[in-house]
Amino acid sequence: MAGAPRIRIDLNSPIPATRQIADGLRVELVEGRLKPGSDLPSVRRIAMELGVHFNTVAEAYRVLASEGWLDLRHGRGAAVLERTAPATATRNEVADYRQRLRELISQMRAGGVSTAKIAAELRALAEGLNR
Amino acid sequence: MILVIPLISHLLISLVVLSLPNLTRREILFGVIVPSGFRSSLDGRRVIRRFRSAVAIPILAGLIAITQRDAFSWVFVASLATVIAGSVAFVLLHRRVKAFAVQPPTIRVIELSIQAERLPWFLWLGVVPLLLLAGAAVYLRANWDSIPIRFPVHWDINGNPNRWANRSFRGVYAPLLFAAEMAVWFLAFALAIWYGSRQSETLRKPMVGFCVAVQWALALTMTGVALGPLLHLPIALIAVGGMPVIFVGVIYLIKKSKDPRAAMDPTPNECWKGGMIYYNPDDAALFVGRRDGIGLTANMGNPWSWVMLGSLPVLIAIGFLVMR
Repeated sequence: MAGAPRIRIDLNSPIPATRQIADGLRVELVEGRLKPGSDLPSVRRIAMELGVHFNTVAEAYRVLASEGWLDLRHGRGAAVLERTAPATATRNEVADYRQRLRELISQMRAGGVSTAKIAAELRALAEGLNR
Repeated sequence: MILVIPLISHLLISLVVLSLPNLTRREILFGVIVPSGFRSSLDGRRVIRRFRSAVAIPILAGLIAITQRDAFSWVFVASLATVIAGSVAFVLLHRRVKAFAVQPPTIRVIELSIQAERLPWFLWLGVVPLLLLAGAAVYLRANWDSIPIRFPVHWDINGNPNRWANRSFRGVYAPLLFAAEMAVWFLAFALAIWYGSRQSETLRKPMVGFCVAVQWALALTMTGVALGPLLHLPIALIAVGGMPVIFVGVIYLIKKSKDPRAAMDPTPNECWKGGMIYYNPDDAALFVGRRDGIGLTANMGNPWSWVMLGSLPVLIAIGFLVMR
């Protein structure tokens, strides 16, 4: 889990690159590898290195800014904000997350990952949450 | 001398065209990423052989024409025919090799730790040619009365003057102005390469250096032309000018392009038109590694590439109009 914050995208994935970038950045933000006050590279630099369009990265930054994670600075990338998580998620939101988890697990099983392996991965992630 | 120079020019161009399949890294052949070992396979050897056979015809025809007929008239035709034959054969074989293509990895990983990118120190050497040109202009102004009323500005292959200029603002300063606009363009081009290509691009830094080398070569040559009438510089010195700088630059580029630690070309095969032109509007990079030789090429899917490359012929045309 440790190491420099990084994002990984698969250009062949059916998941749009914008979402992959936003999801990847959110993981780094939630897990604290991107700390409040730190700067993110400019949209131009990330787009160039990933080989995607500027708008793809800009949209991902906007998504995270709307969630309260980033402060967008015109032409200078973005800075990570101190974000307080909402007090409680609604019942519908929890149901939505559960559904997405089930979909992901089904996808893993369909991809040939054994149930024991999936359970081990989930346990490792859950243990990480308590640290 | 009459025969040697055209012959050497044609042979040099022929050598470059013949070596096209070997100028790229081993995993790229005719603009296509191929499996490792493809080059030495039967199919790989066959396409390379076909390419060489296709260009051998205009090379040999050109050699005969240069040696048997008017060498200077035929060298241009022979070299052009060789380049065209090489390009056509390259595009045709690109289509053929596509059947064996492997896609570059589609997974991209980047670190988010910001390392402030400092411009390479040698980019600042690009300011020196501008200072040199400015210095030459000041020197000419200070010695205005010593400049001959009429002096040569262009010479034929035997070193005989074939164009003259008068002692006027245009006549005296035109070579310096032309070199200055080109030097500024190459400086801008070097900056565009630095900021418009991926950090993982092996030739990013060497290409910036090469642009600076071209600037130096231009400035040295044109300063020689401008100061020639005043200092009576030998024509051979002016002609050679900054060529050694370019030569060193080319050798450095070739050496760097063979770096085995270089990352695999990440651009998708389908974005390469004929294996030579990269067109990918979804890629933010302005410059990517060439697949038909050494160096970088512009991403023609980016409008700024058109601005950058389109401005060069415009500037050259303006320069020629001023110098006429």
